Amino acid sequence: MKKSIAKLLALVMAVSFLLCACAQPNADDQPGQESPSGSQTTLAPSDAGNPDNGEKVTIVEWSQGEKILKLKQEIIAEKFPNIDYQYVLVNNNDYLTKLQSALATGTDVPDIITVEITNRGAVFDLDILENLEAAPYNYDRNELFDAVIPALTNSRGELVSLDNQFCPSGFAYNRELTKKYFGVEEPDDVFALVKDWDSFIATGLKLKEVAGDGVYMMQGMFDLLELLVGQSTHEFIDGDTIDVTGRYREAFEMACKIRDAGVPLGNNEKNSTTWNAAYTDGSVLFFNHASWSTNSCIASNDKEQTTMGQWGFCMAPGGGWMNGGTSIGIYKDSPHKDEVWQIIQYFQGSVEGYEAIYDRIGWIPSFEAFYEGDDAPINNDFLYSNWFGGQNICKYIYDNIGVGIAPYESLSTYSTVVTECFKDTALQFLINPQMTADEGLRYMIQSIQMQEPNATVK
Amino acid sequence: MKKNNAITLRGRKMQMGRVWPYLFVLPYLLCYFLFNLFPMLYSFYISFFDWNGVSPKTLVGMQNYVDLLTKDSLFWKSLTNTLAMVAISIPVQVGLGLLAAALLFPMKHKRAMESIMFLPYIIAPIAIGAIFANMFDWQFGYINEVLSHLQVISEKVYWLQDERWAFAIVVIMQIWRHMGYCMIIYLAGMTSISSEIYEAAKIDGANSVQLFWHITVPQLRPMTVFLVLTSIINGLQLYEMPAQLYAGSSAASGGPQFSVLTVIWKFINDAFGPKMRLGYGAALCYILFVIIVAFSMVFKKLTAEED
Repeated sequence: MKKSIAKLLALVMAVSFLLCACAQPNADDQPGQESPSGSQTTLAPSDAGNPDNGEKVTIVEWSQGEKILKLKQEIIAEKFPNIDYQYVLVNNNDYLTKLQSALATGTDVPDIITVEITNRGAVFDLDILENLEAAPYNYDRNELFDAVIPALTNSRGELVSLDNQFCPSGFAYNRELTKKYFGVEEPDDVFALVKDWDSFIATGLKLKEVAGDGVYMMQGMFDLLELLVGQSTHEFIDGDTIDVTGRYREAFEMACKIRDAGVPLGNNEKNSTTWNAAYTDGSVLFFNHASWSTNSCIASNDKEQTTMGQWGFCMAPGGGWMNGGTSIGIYKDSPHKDEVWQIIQYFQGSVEGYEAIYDRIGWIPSFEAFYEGDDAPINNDFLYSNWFGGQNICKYIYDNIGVGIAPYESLSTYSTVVTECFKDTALQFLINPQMTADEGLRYMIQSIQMQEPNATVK
Repeated sequence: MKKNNAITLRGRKMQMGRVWPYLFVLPYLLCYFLFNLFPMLYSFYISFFDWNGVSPKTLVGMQNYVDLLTKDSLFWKSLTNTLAMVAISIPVQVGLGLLAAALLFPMKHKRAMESIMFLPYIIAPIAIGAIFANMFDWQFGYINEVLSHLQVISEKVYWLQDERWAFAIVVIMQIWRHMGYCMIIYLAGMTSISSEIYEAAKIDGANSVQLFWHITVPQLRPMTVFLVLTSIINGLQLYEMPAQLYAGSSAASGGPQFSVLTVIWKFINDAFGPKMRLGYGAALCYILFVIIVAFSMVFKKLTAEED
């Protein structure tokens, strides 16, 4: 009898062990995987809650940049009592991998998918986003600036994403340094120093003469190339043919010309510690700058606010260019697409919704309504205006750069690889001061060809 | 009647007695099937498909394998890199491990040294990658600082952006991590060598070097075979350390001109990178599996023949 009981107990324990080992944790018990937002830690796109019963539905967004996400959470809590908005901080470098894992397993896919510009081609290719022009959304793309549409549409031409911010760019500069070395600080006067690339070279050589070593025109070759490549956008991917030479030669040659002329350029890799430090250490005059850069680059690198009020903004030589940017879309299999669309419509499509983002984060939107009329929010100061001594750089960007800016290039299945290879090539230019434009092109072509053996790369 | 019942009961007990062992191993078998065998078989299955994990699978037959072996030069580059890393690092780490063991074995107070030398092996590979990335960082790394201070270099060296240096750093990391492990295995092996053999050799006039070459090394042969074989298998799966060297860098995945791209790194890029080619990645893994099995069999055969 005792033996039988012992065996029975052993069997129960073994089965319990097995069930414990194999059990899926309840979604409600699942702890947050990455920086859960707010007080709740349920991060899966919840199917809990039924709006028809007056229950809250949980909407999950994966993104980076906690400040904007927190702001959205506050506004949504107030504006949409039926929605419990949660966010998960996911670094841009990990986003694709994490998203794909979630999609492959069919779990934890966010309702709102944020896509950084470098990943858009790959994410749009997955065909996981709702067509926002189809019913029930019926979004009219004419509300957007023409320049941004190529970067929001998939290969079938469907609008599947809306911009978080409009990204025309110019130069942010340190007024104290321009005054110290050139005796000017107002945007028009500073722009006169760099009104074209010849002026930029002449100013750079003068800077070298008056400031000596350790003071640079820009943070490095990487930033210069990014600017030049951004200014020379045109379609260069046709099916499986990638025309790297046609797309990048001009930019590489100009960068080499500027470098070889002796213009002082820093040797900072983008986003490295020294690159970030350059915003406060007085070593660099000009910084590539879009509306999002004030929050993400200047304020975040100057916690002590030592440079507050010292900044100015002007056009860059050669005109404006689109610099980075994120967009958001609705996951096709989200159980709460209507609620997600409410959020997107509010923030990405209404003046009222975007006003708080403009005011608190300093971003500007890609839809025209925000800029229309004398009482348009763009005419008001925003949180970061005081960093620029009262200059409203958002209005400056819209008036002087945004209107008529060259459009983004269309997205392709190769876009992400090309962008990654460009970054790598720019790094090679940075570390090898003797690298020529031809060598840079060869390096880039070889890198792309090795990763895309089925493409014709020229 | 009673007798018949007793026989039936005994029969049942005997039957149950045979069943119990199976019941006890069942949980393990089920877990093994769910978490090991099924994923292995499933990945073999998807290696015949073009699939990104989201869209429907498209059957492509052997095309993934053919493309990998005939079109994908980056696969061959990654394989060459990995084999070269293995070929260079294993003899050095095993040799240094043996040397360290031979020097430490006669010492009385060797615990501290053993622990220090074994420490790198228990550090997570990702942490080692991060440590080396900081050490060899061209702006802040103290390798450049020290060399500049000693006036060995006049300008800072871009260690991680030079193909040859990047490769050398990965090999150094491998050696640094595994040398202590080899030493520990050899030390354990040395304790099992009979002191009588040494004493007999000493009586015959053998010196320390002769003792080492003619007694210690041959007696440790099983350990050497084990270390080389496991190092080959581990070496062919190298990923975390080189990948961490370039984490957060603008450099292309795989280092400058893919000079430190390993097979597993290539697999991660293909399966979970922008293209998300899960079928292609699975095919790559199975090719690596065949390579590892082939290496293991050849090595076992070679060492068995010598026995």
